[in-house]
Amino acid sequence: MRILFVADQYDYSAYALEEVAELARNTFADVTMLGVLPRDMARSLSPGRPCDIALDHPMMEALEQYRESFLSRWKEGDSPYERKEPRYEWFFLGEGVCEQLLICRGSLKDLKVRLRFGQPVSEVLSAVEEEGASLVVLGCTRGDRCLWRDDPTFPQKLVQEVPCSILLVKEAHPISEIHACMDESNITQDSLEMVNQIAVLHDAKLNLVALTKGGGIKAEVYPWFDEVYAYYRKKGLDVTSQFKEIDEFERFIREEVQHGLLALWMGKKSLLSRLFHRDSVEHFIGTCRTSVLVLR
Amino acid sequence: METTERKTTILLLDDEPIVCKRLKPYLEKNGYEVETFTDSSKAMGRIEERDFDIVITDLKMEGIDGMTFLTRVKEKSPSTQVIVITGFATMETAKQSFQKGVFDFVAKPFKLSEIHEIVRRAEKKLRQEAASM
Repeated sequence: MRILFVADQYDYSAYALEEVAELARNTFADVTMLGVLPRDMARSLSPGRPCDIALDHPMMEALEQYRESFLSRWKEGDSPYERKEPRYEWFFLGEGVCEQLLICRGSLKDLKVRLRFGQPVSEVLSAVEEEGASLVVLGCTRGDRCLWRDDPTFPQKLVQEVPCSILLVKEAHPISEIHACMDESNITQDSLEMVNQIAVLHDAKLNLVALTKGGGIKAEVYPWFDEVYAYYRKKGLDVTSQFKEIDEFERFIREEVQHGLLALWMGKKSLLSRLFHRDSVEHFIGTCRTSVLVLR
Repeated sequence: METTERKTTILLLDDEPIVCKRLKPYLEKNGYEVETFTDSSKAMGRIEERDFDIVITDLKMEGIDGMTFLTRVKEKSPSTQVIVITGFATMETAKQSFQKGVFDFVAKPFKLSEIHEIVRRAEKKLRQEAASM
């Protein structure tokens, strides 16, 4: 598993770091911490010169703190990210220049801290592609909003665009139950496994929710729902199932999903996406008071 | 994959057929010789018959579990590089795997390119170990 933690310098990102660290502690995932700054800030950079001299932005200090906080979770000798003996490696500095730099990498797994410059959503999408990320994690404001302070709609825009699963951490509290809502037959193996890992990690109960329209569920979806239920039962998870009318969905997530994690399977054929306008995912994420995992 | 005299051999064991179905053609396309098993006792029988360069195994399976399987692989062929893939990752299983001498530990879900990258690193280690003998 490769996790891309998209962060800024505010409290909600620090909360999300807790979830990233817990995931990484158990999965030994490769982790990249990413901050995105405006493209024009890159103009002050020169190839081969340290960034922190040219840039004076609180994001850099925040990323350094996240790295130190993340690494401090392991006892000495236990961490897969513990630095190996440093060695010289060649690095391309741009403009036809390479330089040999002394590099200290993780002993078993990589922890990278990166800054990108440009439009935030497109930079994160590029990072997902380049890193081969299975999961994007980011924090956002708690309660019935889901915002970033300097770019309020960024989390919701990112959820719409990102091709892999994405976890929006609203508050730092234990996840004891996962409400996984499905409405379509097009469920990826990756998304099934992601729910499994998160349920195991938190020792959480899994509540499978099949969304219905007019009291019925699509004929082709029914066998899938049974199969998904059987899949998790076979995995030994504590799993229950229920049906919910799509018209009642908003009330369900507002009133019944008060604790735990809301997981939404949101593929291209999603009933949720088709029945509601394009902003449906954003809307549900805003409605839900707890953290949300959008599965793809 | 770099050119070698023979193809690198991989045994893949996962009780979920979809994992084998996804990985086998991908690895074969990249030049590896791959045998897949969804039944750990059959895979155990196969490793008694021959050694593989690389073994990729799930951990939680019915019958012989992955930890028992990889322990036997390393006993029989210490040079075999074992890669663990698991849907039930915990710090304990990760640590235990590395104590048993596995090359890498990967939690599901993973991208195919992630496994390919690890396989290439395992091949590099195999070459280095062969050269130092």
